[in-house]
Amino acid sequence: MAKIKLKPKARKGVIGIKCLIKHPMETGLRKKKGKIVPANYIVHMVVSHNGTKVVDADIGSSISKDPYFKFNVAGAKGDTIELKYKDSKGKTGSATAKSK
Amino acid sequence: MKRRLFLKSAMAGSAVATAVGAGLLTPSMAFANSADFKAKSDAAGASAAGAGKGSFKFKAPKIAENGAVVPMTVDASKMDGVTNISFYVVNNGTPLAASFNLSGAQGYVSTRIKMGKTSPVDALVTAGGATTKVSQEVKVTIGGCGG
Amino acid sequence: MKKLITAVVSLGLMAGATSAIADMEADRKAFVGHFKSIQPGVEFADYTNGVYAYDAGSRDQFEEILDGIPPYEEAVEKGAAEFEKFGLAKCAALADPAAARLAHPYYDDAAGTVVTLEGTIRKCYNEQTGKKMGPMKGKVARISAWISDQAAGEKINVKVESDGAKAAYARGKATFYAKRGQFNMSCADCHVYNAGKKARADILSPALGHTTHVPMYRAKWGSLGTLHRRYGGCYKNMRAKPLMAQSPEYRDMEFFHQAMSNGLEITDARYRK
Repeated sequence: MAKIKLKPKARKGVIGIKCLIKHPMETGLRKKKGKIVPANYIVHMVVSHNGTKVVDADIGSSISKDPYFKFNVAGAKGDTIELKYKDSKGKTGSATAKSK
Repeated sequence: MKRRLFLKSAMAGSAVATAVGAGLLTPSMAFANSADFKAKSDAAGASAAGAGKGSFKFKAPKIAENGAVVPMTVDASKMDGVTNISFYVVNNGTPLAASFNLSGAQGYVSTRIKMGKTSPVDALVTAGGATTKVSQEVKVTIGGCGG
Repeated sequence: MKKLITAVVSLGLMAGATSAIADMEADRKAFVGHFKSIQPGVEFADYTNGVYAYDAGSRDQFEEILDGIPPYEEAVEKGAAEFEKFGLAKCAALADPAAARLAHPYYDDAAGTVVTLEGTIRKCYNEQTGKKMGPMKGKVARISAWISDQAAGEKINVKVESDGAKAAYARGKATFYAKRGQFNMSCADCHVYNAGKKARADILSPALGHTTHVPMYRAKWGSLGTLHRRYGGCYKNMRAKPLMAQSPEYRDMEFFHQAMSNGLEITDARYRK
């Protein structure tokens, strides 16, 4: 559902891609009520434009909770942007949006 | 003798756990990351050490409002052939926060990073095989009234 | 200015809580005048963004966060969905969300108490579902934030007219100016007399504009929370025992607090450190 917010917006030939992934980004060192909260953070993310990979990112646990990223790619309104990620537990997520 | 050895090794483990729990070993000292990522972090560190001064823009606050959410932006869009932008937080346990390989996207990345304590932050940009850096200190404070 | 404020306050306090000397408009003008005197370069309207009107470094970060995707966006969207799901528009008081935000807090003469937006939401939720809603965070914060968003751009306009309202206002004002806790400090000590100065590493926000962006998202909480949640936190910071969210004392203080920001625009930029 709204686990990933993907907002590509084209302006003067450049698509500004803003994205926010709902994810706790737990470092594995935080304690809650005396118990360690297990590590759980995004490790890899790929952004594609019209099917072509444009960003391939290695992500560490010091990226903030609910990671936010912004990228720019040459393109136009109506182009397709896709985001895929994988976390340290092996879970994956993805989202697709057409640029406004 | 056996008892002492047993106690000694058992204590060592729990001592670490206690230190972490008590916040003495703060997350700033050791963010958990995979061995693979740690290797990348070491490589980034080496790269940063040898990097010349970059001509790109690096925006980060001088005093972070909240160490858990520090916004940072690298704008190297005026440079040609940018293949990687990385954020290296020198005093974080695993200094490499993230490494973005760009293959079509422009040389521009904005994100939000956790910082355990005041630290210089190195923004690294690789273009045409060469890495340059722009460094800025970001102060992180704890507590105050809102703390 | 400080002498004038102290004189006005002590007049109000000495004359007793039910006195008609609690003149909201006079207090408000003195309040605004005080802030003008301590920060002459800041325009009245800028106080909508509170502490960010005072400090460029933190305002930069505030704007960066807003310019990106604000971390509370999804929570507010969820609040919208919950407003729908629980049928809250069926309650007359919430049928027009923008009007609802502007109408609260108000003094209900018949009930003899201050009614806050969160109070109305909780009452409506109970009427529509038969269940109870918590007073500080979660559903109440999300729904209140969405309702408040609908009034973004409108000016706060609290009315203090009846005798009962004036008494509640005076009580709220007294709470705001009363010293408490181990630190023996009042809300006013930090947020009026020392606004703009630093308490350890934090810049003290001005009380003028405090309520334009409630419920707020605090980076420290990592979530939305109501004004009363923040009151509780501040009490704890003064090493005083916090009161319950939606308690009569906090509702009276909200009544005073919001009235002091009359004329400022409500904003949907809810991010604070």
